[in-house]
Amino acid sequence: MSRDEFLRQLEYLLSDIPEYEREDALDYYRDYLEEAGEDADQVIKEFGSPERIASIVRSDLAGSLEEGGGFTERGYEDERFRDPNYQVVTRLDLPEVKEAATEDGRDGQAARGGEKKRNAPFTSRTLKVILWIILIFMAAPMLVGAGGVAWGITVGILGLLVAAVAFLGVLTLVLFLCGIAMCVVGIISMTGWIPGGLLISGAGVAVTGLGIISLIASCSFYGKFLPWLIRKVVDGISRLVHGRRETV
Amino acid sequence: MVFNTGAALLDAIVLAVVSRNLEGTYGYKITQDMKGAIEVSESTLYPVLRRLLKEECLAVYDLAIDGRNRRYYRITEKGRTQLNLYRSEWAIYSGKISRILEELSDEQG
Repeated sequence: MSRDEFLRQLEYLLSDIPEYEREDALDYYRDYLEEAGEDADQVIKEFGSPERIASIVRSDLAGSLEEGGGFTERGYEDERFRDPNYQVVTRLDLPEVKEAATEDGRDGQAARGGEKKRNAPFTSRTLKVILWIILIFMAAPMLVGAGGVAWGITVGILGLLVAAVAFLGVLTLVLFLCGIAMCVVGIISMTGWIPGGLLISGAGVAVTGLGIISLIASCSFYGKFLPWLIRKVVDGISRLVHGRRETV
Repeated sequence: MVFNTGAALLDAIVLAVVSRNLEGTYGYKITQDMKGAIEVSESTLYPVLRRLLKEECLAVYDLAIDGRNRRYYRITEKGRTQLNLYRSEWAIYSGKISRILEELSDEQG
């Protein structure tokens, strides 16, 4: 490994420590290799690897180097930094020093370690509804223009639905009105021709009876079925707006 | 060398080496000078120098050599006091060890 390569890797490995500490270490080792001159290759070999040197620098920062090192017949050694074991050295907690110059781009790599807080995706129910309304308004001319037929069919179906919904009510109303009217007409007719009057008023009573049956039917239709239908439709729309998390 | 020695002796040796040069000396040369006395790896010195600087036993200054800065280390007054302490302690310690080892060898011989 060349001198420049060694220093480059060391700089990268120390990119998350405070800048002045990094510069201090890099200056020292740059100087050291410079002084070594011809022997620089030999010195780099003895360094072991940039990772090992970086590990020593880190432990020194954490103030724990005094505890682990020992002076042996092979020179000063720290068990924790013996190749290749230094990789499993537990990351000692570095002092929490925040650099002021984090924005100058030099420390871009320092932020790599997943320290960036991930923002929760912004969401808002109101915003969604507004967006839907805007979408519908924006899309409406296109629907009218390109899909006039579809629009017409939609309106037709809607009209049919409204008519179907209204039908029972209208029928009830008509039956009641007819029945009462026929009763009145029958009673008046009895003054002239009694059997005819009786027939008409009998039919009127029958029609009114039908009206009562129709009234009962429409009570259960408008009171139970229609609210249920509306609830279902509203649920469907809200599911569409809020995503599918409520589907069971 | 079969004896393991702790950080204190290493500090003492570095202080002694640095104190030999009145105008100071630089990292690579310190390591080479230490090698005259003990086996020491090239990566040993940096943490030791930092520790001694922090304790103000050493001071640094930069000197322009061949168009670049070389960082020189020189011993401070405090460092000199510390070195004298190490010297007297070492004299007592090594004297006792030598005596006891020589007595044993006398008995054997």
